[in-house]
Amino acid sequence: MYKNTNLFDRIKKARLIAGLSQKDLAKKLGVSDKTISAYEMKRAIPPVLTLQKIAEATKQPVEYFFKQEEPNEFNQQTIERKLDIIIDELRKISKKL
Amino acid sequence: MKAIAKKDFTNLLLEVGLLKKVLRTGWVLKGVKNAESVADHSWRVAILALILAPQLKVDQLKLVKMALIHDLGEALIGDIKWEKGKRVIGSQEEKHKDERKAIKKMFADNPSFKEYIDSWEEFVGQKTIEAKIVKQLDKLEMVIQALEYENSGYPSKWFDEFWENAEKYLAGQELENYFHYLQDKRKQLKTKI
Repeated sequence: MYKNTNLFDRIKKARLIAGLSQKDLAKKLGVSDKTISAYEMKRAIPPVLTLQKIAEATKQPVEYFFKQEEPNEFNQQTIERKLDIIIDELRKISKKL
Repeated sequence: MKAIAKKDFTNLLLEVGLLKKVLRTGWVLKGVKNAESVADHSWRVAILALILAPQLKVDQLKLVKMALIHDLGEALIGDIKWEKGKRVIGSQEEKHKDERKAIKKMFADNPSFKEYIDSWEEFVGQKTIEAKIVKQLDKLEMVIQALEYENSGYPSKWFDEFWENAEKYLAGQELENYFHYLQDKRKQLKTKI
């Protein structure tokens, strides 16, 4: 399997840190939110220019997306992933209200 | 034809060149090292079109043009995987929507480029014989590449989903026989291993 799963996870993480929904990021990139979902769900690798745009939109350096996972980062990342899911759910709920 | 300004042509070539750096997602996700690019794939689809057009009694130039254009939008979007084997896992419509934007942007500089946008639209529409043939060639090229990877030592089972996907598009179609021939080649390879 593809080793650099960090790329996909980090796109989602960067988006959430920037407080953007998939639609928000899609608008900034000029693509559909389904394409953003494909980048986050390991269904597409964003081309370099697109990754640069993602970096700009999320205010992260491009290197962030390729950073290797530190061994002691594992537990923290697990927690962060769970937090990401909670943030996503909360956002969906708040939009419904 | 109106002369194409150097600037227009260069911009277009730079954008088209990006396709050489877009890797085929399916292979990368499986773990293939130095996986082919979408440009690599399109090139061999065009060769298939060139060779098979006379036998299929279709317009050769139209077929080759369409083969070269069919994945061009991926240069700006990436190769989005929307099927796994025979299953649909994403929206083809949304993928096409973004590719359409990309293609229109690429060819926006000169009105004479409109024929390429039209060629892409024809492919996506899947109504004409040429569009249907290019779709089949697209899938045939994919399994030829899978066969190459299998031949070079990657586990055969990695590629089952690609063969299943190709079958979905080739069963009962003009190029079904060639697909069966490739399936037989694969079986022979498996017995050797």
